[in-house]
Amino acid sequence: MRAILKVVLCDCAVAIELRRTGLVDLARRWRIKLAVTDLLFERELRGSTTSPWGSVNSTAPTAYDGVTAQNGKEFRVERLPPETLQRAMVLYRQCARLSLQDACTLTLARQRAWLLATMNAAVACAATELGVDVCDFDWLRRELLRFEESAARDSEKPVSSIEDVRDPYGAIEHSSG
Amino acid sequence: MIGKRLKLARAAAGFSLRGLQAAMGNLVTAQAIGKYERDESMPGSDVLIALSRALNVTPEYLASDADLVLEDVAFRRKVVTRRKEEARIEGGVLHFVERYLSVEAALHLPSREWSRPRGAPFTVREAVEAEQIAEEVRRHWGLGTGAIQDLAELLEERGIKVLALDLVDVDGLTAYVAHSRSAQLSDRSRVADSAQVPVVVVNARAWGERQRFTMAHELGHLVIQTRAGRDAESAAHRFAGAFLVPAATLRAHVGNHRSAISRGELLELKKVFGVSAQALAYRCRDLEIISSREFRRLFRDFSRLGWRTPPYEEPFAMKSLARPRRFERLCYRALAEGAISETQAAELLGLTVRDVRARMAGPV
Repeated sequence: MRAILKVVLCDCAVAIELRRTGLVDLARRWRIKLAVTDLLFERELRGSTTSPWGSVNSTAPTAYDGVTAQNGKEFRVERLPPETLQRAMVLYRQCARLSLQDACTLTLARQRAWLLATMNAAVACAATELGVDVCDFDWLRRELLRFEESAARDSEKPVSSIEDVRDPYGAIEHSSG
Repeated sequence: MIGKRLKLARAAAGFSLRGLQAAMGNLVTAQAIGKYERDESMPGSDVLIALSRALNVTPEYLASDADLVLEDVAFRRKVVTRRKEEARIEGGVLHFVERYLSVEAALHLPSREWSRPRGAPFTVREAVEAEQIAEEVRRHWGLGTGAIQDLAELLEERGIKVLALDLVDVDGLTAYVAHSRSAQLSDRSRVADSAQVPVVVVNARAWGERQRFTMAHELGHLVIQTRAGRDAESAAHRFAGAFLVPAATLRAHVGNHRSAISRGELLELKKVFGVSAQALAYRCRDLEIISSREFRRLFRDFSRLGWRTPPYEEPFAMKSLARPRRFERLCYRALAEGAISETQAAELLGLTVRDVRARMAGPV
C-alpha cells in the first residue's frame, strides 16, 4: 500500500511530540510515511554524539525517549545516496545557520518532493527559501485529527480530505486502495 | 569533496587505507576510500557515518571546506610527544576554531583581532626581563595590580581563543590559526580571513590553578620572543608568574624579605591569586623574598605531600575549565536569535538537541 503523504522529520522535537501524543500510530493508519535521515538517526535517536577528536561532551542517553526501540516501525531511516549527499554538502557550506543534518534533510525533501517537518524557525526559513514545503508538529497534528474526524463523520476514504495540503512537488500521493 | 579532510583524519588516526577499511567493518574497500580521498567519488551518508565513527571525528568535520592551517605551533610538553598525538591535537584545535568562527559568522560578529600590546612581541635577552613585559601587558589591558579572577574570560575578551582539550603528555600549547593561501572560502568559513587567530590550548584534565598558569605561560609565548639560543620557556614561565602574581602585590601581602614562609600561608595566598602553592614558592624565590634554601625546603615538603606528582592535587584545588565559555554563550545566543538551527547548535557544541534544549531552559 502506497503512502498518501511522505514527511521527512528534520529534528527530533517533531519525532518526540508525535510519539508523546500517540500520533505515530495514527499516521501509520492513514498511510503517512514518516522518515528521518540516517545522520539524524545516528546523532540523535541512537544517541551516539561523538565530539571531534575523541572528546565527548554529551550526556545523551543511548536511546531518545524510547524512539530508537521502535525505529523501523515508526520512522523510516533514509540513506542519502552520494549525489544527494554532495548537494547537501554544497548547501551546508553555503549556509552557516544550518547543520549538516539540516542540509541533508532539506536536500532530501527537495529532491524527493517530500514535506519537511521541523519545529525550528531557522530551518523553516531556509526551507521556504529553497521552495521546500514545510510544516510543524501542530500542522501535522491538526491534519491527522482532521482525517480522523472526517472519516468518522462520513466514512469516506482519507484521500480527498488531504487534497488541500497538496504541494507543487507532489509530496502527497493518492492512495491506490 | 571530502578528500582533504578524510586524508587528514586518517593520518591523525594512524590508519592505512586497509586499516580504515577494516575499522569500518569492510563496508567499503580500501580502493573506494582512496577514491574518496582523491575526490574521485563521493560516499553515501551511510559510508560518511561509518568513516566518521572509525576516525573518531564528526561527519561535519569531514563535510567542512574550511581551509584553516596552524602556524607557529608551540607545545608545552612534559615529555617528547609523538607526531600522531600532535596531529590529533592540531586537528582538534583546527576543528574547534572552525566552529568558533562559524558561530561568530552566523552572528555577524567580526572575528576579533587580538588586543596585542603595542610593540609586542617583545624581545628579551634574560628571563627576568619578562617581569617588565608582564607589567606592560597589564598596563595595556588596564588590569591594575590586583589578582585576575577569570583568566580564560579575560583572554577571550582580548581576542585570544581558549580551548580545553584532553591532552596526553602536553600541558598546553599556543598557535595561530590562519586561512591557507589557496583557500576557496565558502560563506561558512569566510569569517576571519584577514588575520591570524591566536589560540591557547590547556589540558582539560589539569586542575584550574595549573590551567591558569598554562594560559598565562602561553600568553607569554604570544608576547615574548627570545634571542636565538635563549630559553623561551624560562621567559614564558617568568612572564606567567609576574602576570598572575604582580611583584608589588605579592610583596604587599608577604613583605619584602622573609626568612621562612609556611605552607599554610602559601595556601591562603593561593586563594588570593589563583595559582598553585608551588607557583607561589617559585615567585617568592624569583623576587628574592625567600632564599633558595627556604625554597628547597618548601619543595621537599611539597614532594613529601605528593603535590609534585600526578594528579598534582594540592589543597583548595580549583575547578578545571571544562569548555570555552564564550564559545558556548555565542552558540546559545545564535540559537536564541534564530541565527542557527537547533541541530546546528547541537553540532557546534557536540551535544544532542535534547541537551541543548535542557541547557537553554536552565535549571527549573
